[in-house]
Order: sequence, then structure tokens, then C-alpha cells
Amino acid sequence: MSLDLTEGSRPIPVVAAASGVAARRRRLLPAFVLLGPVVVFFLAVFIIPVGLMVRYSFLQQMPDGTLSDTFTLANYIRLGAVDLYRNVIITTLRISLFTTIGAMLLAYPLALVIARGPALIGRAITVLVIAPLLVNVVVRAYGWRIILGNGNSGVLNWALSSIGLGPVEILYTEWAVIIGSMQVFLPMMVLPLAAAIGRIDPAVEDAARTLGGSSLAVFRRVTLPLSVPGLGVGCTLVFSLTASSFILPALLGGSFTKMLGTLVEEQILTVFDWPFGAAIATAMVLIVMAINLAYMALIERRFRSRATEAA
Amino acid sequence: MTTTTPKILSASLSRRRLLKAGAATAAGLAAPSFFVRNAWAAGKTMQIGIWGGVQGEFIRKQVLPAFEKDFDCKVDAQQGSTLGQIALLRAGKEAPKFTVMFVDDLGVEIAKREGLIDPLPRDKMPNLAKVYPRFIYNDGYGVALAISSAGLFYNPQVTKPLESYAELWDPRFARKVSLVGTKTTPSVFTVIIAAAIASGKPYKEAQYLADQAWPKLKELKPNVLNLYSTDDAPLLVAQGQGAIGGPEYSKYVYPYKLKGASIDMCYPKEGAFAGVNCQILVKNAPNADLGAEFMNRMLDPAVQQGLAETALAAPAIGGLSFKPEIAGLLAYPESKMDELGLFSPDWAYVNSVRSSWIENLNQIFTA
Repeated sequence: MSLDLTEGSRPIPVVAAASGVAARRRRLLPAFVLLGPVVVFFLAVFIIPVGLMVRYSFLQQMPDGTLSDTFTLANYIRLGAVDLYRNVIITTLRISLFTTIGAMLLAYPLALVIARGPALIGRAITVLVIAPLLVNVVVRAYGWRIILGNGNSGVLNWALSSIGLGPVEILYTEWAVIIGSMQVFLPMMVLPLAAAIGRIDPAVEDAARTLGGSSLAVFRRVTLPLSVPGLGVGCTLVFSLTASSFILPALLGGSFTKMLGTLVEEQILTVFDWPFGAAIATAMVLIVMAINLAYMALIERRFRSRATEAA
Repeated sequence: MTTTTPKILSASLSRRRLLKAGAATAAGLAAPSFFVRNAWAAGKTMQIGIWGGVQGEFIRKQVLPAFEKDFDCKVDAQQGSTLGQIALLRAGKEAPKFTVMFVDDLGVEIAKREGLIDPLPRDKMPNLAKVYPRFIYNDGYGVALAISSAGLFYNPQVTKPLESYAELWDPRFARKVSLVGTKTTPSVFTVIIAAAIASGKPYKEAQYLADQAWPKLKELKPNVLNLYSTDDAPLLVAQGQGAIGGPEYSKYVYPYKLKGASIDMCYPKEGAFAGVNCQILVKNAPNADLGAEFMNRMLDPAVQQGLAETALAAPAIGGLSFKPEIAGLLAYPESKMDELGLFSPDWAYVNSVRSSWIENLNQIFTA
């Protein structure tokens, strides 16, 4: 005789519950099997290295090349105490923000054409947006060095000088890093945005137009709010990738524009202070993660309030 | 009755095969001692760390194939920079994989201090006797292979060579100085130069007076166009991006000059710096005997001559002569090194303070 478990006044037979669990397990088994390799892969190449990095950040490099045995906060205290590192963090965030805003402004028209324009033109724009991804970022950075070169050797300065507007000094400034980053990371903004716009029912925009909305009003009141999820993904990608980039600030910023990525590389490969490099890297990940989470929370809250208003 | 040679015999006794076998035998008879002497190395594989660039290419194409042939061994060469090579030695300290490492002179001090290397086996390296004594480092733990002189590179179409480093602070160079970045060794020379200018002391004393360098470097900032981190910086100056740059090793500048770029080097009166590429023997290295043979080969006059002509860096051994167009670019022989006042910093001291020097340089030059 089996025992009966009760949930309120309803009796649940044990046999039925057990068979339900078994069925659920059977359903989940393929998912576990499929996810297994990915989980192991990420554990091996991401979680464990990141864990080691965080652990290193609490150690200290000893003069004989070994790491200290005891945990310390010295690296984080140094990070906060020396104004150089505070300035670099601010520079990194400023460049990432400007790059994200710039990419957003450039990406919207492109995404609209991809999602709403004639199919042939949409496909052509998609290819144009994706094509630069086939070229190594170092090659692209060197291309920008030729374009933005100071003096008359730069293509931009040569063009500006020929119409009496130049020369200007852009290479080895923050602007060079922002321009290069916008070009390199633009596809990361365009593609999710185009996908989000593509999911908006055209009938909604048509309805807005039928009600007398101008194109600008339709974009501002309908397309823009409904594409915010894609915008969120794009902004997160562009901001994070810019904040952690190393090649572009190294080649276009000319060491005047230090970012966190270049500092990490310098500490690891030049100074050989792995713990301090790990502390900078950990701080970089935490700051970028915090900003992205805050941004996503803001978007989610805005959506929830809109939904509440609509209800 | 007719006799027919079996096919297999006819093939094996063909004239070509006989000639080949004869040649091999003759060679074997002619040099029996050679085969016997190097038989111990046959089939061994050795892992070494070398430099990149033209020096690395020369070693890969000219030195390694001949060495592998002579010792019937395999040499696996991995390219890297000094601190990268040190990192590999640290990672493999308990179970070394590398036998020989090429590092700059500053790396010899670090590797010895951390117990990563063994002294050079003098008895197995007869070519060490040909090396100028000044290029045997840290009590015989490292030996130079090539010596570059570090000075300023400039565009002759834009400026004259500088008499003194103090001229870098002149307003005529506003935003025209391409200063070496913090990642490479010559950034250390920048600090010593600034300390020497600020204190009026020679490099030997100025290297301990970095506190006087920082305010002086702040004064230089308006003249600095950028802090470069790539080897093409001299080329950018040649193309008109800035007028002067460095301090930089001659080996990164003269190849452009030889190709006709508008670039040259000058060594102001305060003196030039030595950029010394060295080789070291890894502690408890596998195949250490083979490593000693290889290190000895690297000091062979023919190898030293070829390396010097390829990289335009002076050899470490005496008694070599070069064509005039090459000789003019090398700090060679020893008397010319003395004329240039080639200075090597106290790396034990500089390595211990390098982290704070980089931090200070970043504070001054990061916008």
C-alpha cells in the first residue's frame, strides 16, 4: 500500500508523482546531453581562468618571480589610490560611451534599411556591414592610421588641406580611438537592431501613419520604443567590446590615450606584475558588467512601466 | 646459356644508386671523426626561444638548418620578446621544456635572480674565448650575440642631428617628438636621459636620480606627438609624422635607411645606450649538451658575421671585418663602442624600479 501525499485537500498519489519526475527527467536528458559539452568548454576556458584571474588579483608578485601566499587587498587599494588608474577608468568609460552613442546614430538608418527597405538593398547593406568583420582588426587599425595620419601624409588631412580646412590632428587622440572603434564595432549594433526592427509588426507603424503621424513621429513613438530590446543588446555589445579593447587604443591612441585593456597588457607583459594586471582586469569586468546591468535594468523598468500604462 | 640479372638486383645496383652510395661512403670515410663526434645528438629534439624580426629570420633560415644537419637533430624555435621568454621560463621552472633562450641583457639579470638559468658551460663553448669580456654578463650566466646602439632617429629633411638630448625640449620640436612607449626597454633610457639632463650628471649616476627626471619629462610633454609602441615608428617619422623620435635601437632604424627612407640616427653627446641581445642556458634544461653546442655555434665567426650584416647590429666577438656601407652603421669594433660611450644600465636596480617608472611615465603622458 502506498502512502498518499496531500497538497491542500487534493491527494497526489506517489506513483503518479514519481512517474511525472521520471518523465521530466527523460525530457531534460537530451537538453543536458546537448548542453554538456558547452558547459564543460566554458568551464575550462572561461570560468576557471576568470576564477584564477580573480584569485591572482588578491596576491602579490614577489621579487623572485613567485606569487605571495597570503591574500591582500593591496592591488585594489593601489588601483583606487593612484590618480592615473582613476583617470584611465574614466577615459575608458568616456570613450566607450561616445563610441556607443556614435555607433547607435550610425546604426539606426542602416538597420531601418536592412529591415524595412527593398530586399536587394537590404541584403547589400547587410553584406557591407558584415564584410569588414572578415578583415583582421589590426589591419583595419592600420588602415585608420593611414586615413587619420597627422600632417599631410594622412588621407583625411590631405583632403581637408586641399579644400582649405586642414590640417587637423586626430591620430593619437581619443577621437581616433572613438572613430576606429565605431567602425570596428558597428556591426554589433546594426545586426541586433535590424533584427529587433524586423520583428516589429509593420501594421503598427502603418496604423500610426494612418492616424496622421509624421515619419519622425512614427519613428520616435513607435519604431524606437519597440526596437529598444535590440538597441539594448547592441549597446551592451559595443560598450563592452570598446571598454575591453586593446589593439585600437594601442595603435590609434598612441599611448596618450591609455585604456584599461592597454594597462592590463602592460602590467602582464612589460612589468610582469600579474596580480596587479589581474586586479585591473577584474575591475574592468566588474565596472563594465555593472554598467550593462544598470542599463538593462533601466530598459526593463521602462518597458514594465509602459506595459502598466497600456494596461 | 644466358644469365639474367634479377630485377631487384638490377634496381639496387643501378649506376645512380652506386654513385650515391659511393659518395656517401666517401664522405663518411673522409669525415669519420665528425659522424662519431656528433652521434650522441642524433635524433634529439631541442626547444629554444629566439627573437622575431630579421634576426629571427636569419637564425631560422641560415643557422638552424645547418645545425640540425650537423648534429642530426631537430631544433624547435619559438619566437618571443625578452619578458615573454622570461614568462615561459617561469611557467616551466619545475619541468623546463626550453634549453636555450634569447633575451636582452636586462633579462639575464632577472633570469639569474629568479634561479631560471645555469652558468654558461665554458668548457663546451670554446667560442666564448672570442667574445669581448664586456659582453659576458652576470658572472658568466649570459653572453651577448648582437649589440645595437640606441639613440634618436630623425628625418634629415626636417631637422639636423641633435648635439645634445637637451634640444628635445626646444619649442621648435612642439608636437614633433615621437617618444618610445612604456612597453619596450628603451623607455628606461628616456628616464635616464631626462635625469641626466636635469641633474647634469652622466648616465652612470643619473640612472639612480629618476626623481629629477619626472619634472623634466613633464616639461617635454608639449613637444611629444605620441608614445609609439610599434616598430614602424621610424617609418612614420620618415613620412612626415613628427620630426624626431626615440630613443630607439639602431637595428629598428637602419634597415629603413638602407632601403632609402628619409631617416637617420644621431647619438647626442650625453652618450648612446647599448641594446644587447643575449643567450642563456635554462636551468636543468633537457639536452643541455646540445644547447651548449648551439650556443657555441651562435658565437661562431661566420654566424656572428651573418647576424651582424642582417640585423645591422654589432657582433659580440672580435676580429671581424665588414664592407664600408655596413661598417658605418655598426658600433664595431670595441674602440668604436667606446667612442659612442655605449652605456648599459644597472639592470638589477632598474628592473627593481621599472614598475614605478612605468607608472610615472604613464601619469605624465597619459592625457
